[in-house]
Amino acid sequence: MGGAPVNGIDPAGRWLTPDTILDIGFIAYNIYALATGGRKALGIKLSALGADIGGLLIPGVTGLGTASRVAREGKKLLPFVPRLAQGNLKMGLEHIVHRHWHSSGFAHVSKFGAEVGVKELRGIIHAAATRGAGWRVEGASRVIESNVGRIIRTDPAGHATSWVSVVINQAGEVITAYPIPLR
Amino acid sequence: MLLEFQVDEAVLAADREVDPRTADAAALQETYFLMPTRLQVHQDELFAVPPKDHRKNASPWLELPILHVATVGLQKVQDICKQSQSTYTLPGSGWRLRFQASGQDILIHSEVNGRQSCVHYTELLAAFEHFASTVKEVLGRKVPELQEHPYWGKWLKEK
Repeated sequence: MGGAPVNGIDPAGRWLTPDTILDIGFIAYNIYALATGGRKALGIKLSALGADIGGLLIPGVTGLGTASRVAREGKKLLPFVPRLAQGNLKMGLEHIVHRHWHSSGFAHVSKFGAEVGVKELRGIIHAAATRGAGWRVEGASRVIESNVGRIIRTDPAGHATSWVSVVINQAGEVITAYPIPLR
Repeated sequence: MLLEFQVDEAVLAADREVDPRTADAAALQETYFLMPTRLQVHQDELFAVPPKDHRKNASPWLELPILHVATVGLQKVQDICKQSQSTYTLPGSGWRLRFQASGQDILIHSEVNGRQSCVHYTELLAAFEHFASTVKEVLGRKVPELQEHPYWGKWLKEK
């Protein structure tokens, strides 16, 4: 619009710009999705349609509907996975190695098997976060318990188990993780 | 019933090496101040871990982070009123204490050793409240810098 996109004047008459064409395509797709997809994710589809109409009205802006859809569906698509930092003797990897590694000397403490290295531990934590029933709030901590589908070694009584507990802080950092009795 | 802990001075000294004022709040709850803790109900030791050698007697003491027992444990006991049952998962082991209400009586089942015992709710609540106030008194005196912690400082100062 003659370098002044907000004044509503289009002296050159080039209103059918590439972004406008894309917006019309997105709007058509959203209408199709609404017409054929039933009530499933109705709110997400309506938001995406509204965002694409907004994008059509704003020169130079496109893809707002897709951005809206990703923002609203993203929470469902991407499971939260806690961060395992090096830490110290009281939290993180260093704590887990100190207290729950196969080589740890503590009695009546659950331990990971000798086959569990740091890479495997990260995989166990990832599996717990994605397969667990949900995070439980316990005071300053969040806890998830999960069956990771393979023996990771022993609970505090020395029985083999495939269950793990992962404890994180409010920032999503791992405080500790350890095998627990079968549920 | 009895819920008590022993002060382990060596643990306190080691824990104070990492400044508790700046320590992570969740770490303080889960991995600091691990003290021998005992839960006895009508002569049943609910925290006694069965020894692997059956000729030995089981110790009634189980190492637990006392801030966890004083806060999460107490909360789980208070939850019995709302749901008529509650489960307290012991930190560091995953063993659970299951509370099941039948009127004012609470059946406690311990996964530590499979024992169960019954106690009146007011007695159970009083035992956990007394434990929490003892933890506040002991940590307030022995780890005074914890009162400056942004999360636990407030809890220590609560009556």
